[in-house]
Amino acid sequence: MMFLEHKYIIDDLVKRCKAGERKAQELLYKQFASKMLGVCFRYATDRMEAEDMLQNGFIKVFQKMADYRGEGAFEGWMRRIMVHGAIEYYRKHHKMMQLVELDASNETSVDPLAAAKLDAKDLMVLIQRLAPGYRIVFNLYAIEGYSHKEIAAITGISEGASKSQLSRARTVLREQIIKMEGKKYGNAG
Amino acid sequence: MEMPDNEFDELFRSKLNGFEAEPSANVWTRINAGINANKRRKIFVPVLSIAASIIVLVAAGILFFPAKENTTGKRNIQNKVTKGAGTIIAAQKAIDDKKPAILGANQAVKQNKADAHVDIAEVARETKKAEDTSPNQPGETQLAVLKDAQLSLAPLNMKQHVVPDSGTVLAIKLPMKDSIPLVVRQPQPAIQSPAIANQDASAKTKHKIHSVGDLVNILVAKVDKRKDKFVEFTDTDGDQSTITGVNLGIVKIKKGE
Repeated sequence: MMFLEHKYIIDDLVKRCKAGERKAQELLYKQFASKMLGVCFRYATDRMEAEDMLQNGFIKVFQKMADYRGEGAFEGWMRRIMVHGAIEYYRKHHKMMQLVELDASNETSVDPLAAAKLDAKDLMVLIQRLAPGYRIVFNLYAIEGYSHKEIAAITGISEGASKSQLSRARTVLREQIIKMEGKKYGNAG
Repeated sequence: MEMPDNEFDELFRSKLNGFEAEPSANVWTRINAGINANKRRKIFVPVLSIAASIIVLVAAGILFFPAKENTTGKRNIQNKVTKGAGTIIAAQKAIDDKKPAILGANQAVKQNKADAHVDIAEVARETKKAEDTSPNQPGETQLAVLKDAQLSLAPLNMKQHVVPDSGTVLAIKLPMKDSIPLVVRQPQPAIQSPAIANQDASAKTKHKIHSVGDLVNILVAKVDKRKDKFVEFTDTDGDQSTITGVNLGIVKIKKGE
């Protein structure tokens, strides 16, 4: 029941936004800003970058509003625009996809129970510390759920590059988790 | 104990997918400004296109109208040339410049439009002086030559003031001494019958560039291979050209050949 009501409100807002109503645009922004900033955070290095992405993303959402034909959830449509905008942001700022070579020497293992204790903020910090190329591929594959083929199409890198970036991203994240756990245990002990 | 990749990914997905963060207050202000900037640009585009079309129209006006005005202006000047004072003053300048006679005279006339408008009264005064100082005999022959020239100019639509009143003709005498060759050469193309003169003009159009019109003709001919060109200029008064044909596909205008 709540969901239906929410959907009705959003549909109405979208309709009024298409008509160019300023108040509706502001309401729509308030409705989704926090969620979308959460998406942008995963692709950004810090809050400033994330808010830049959010700003560009919302301007694009309002520009392309007429293209949204009500097929599928509006939130999903908006999210896709944010994600594509975030990747575009890196392309513009020449930070895109530089491959960082890693020493494949350290075999790392993460204790799942310990990892499960990490909260969202910790994981967010870990993702933000990744090199942009790793961060984008890991986000698209692990969180957004795109295939390597789709990632190749979105980012312009090859499928193979997407696979290797993903596995390197995981390796870096595992190392960082172990470090973080070590610190926590250190603090506790 | 190693965590499988899919479980590792799932850990991040479950914890970060619903992640929310309150944006700073100024983000909406910036978005709002961005939307407005876009709207302004959308309004600005038609304004630009209107401005562009006005510029095109004005440019067309400048290209077409002065061409006509110059033609009549030129005729007037040429009439005055036959009248006398203008030619001689202008021609002497041209000789000073050592330019080819006809072209030079024309140019000189252009440069000295003011001189061309010499007051008849002034001319008459000069005439008296001339009569006092110079012998009459050579002047008379020159007058005869000039009359010849004027007569032959008559068929070229130079109807106004073709035959000058005696005062003006006399006025020619004094400066004429130096410029006989020019005065004789000036009307030369006019001695031929109008038909031949016309042919001459069209031949010129094809081979030589004398005016902007010729240049445009050549450029148009390069692009437009139809018989009736997009725009066609014809030399009418020596170096002055007017538009004699327009072909816009549907609309065709062609002045009588």
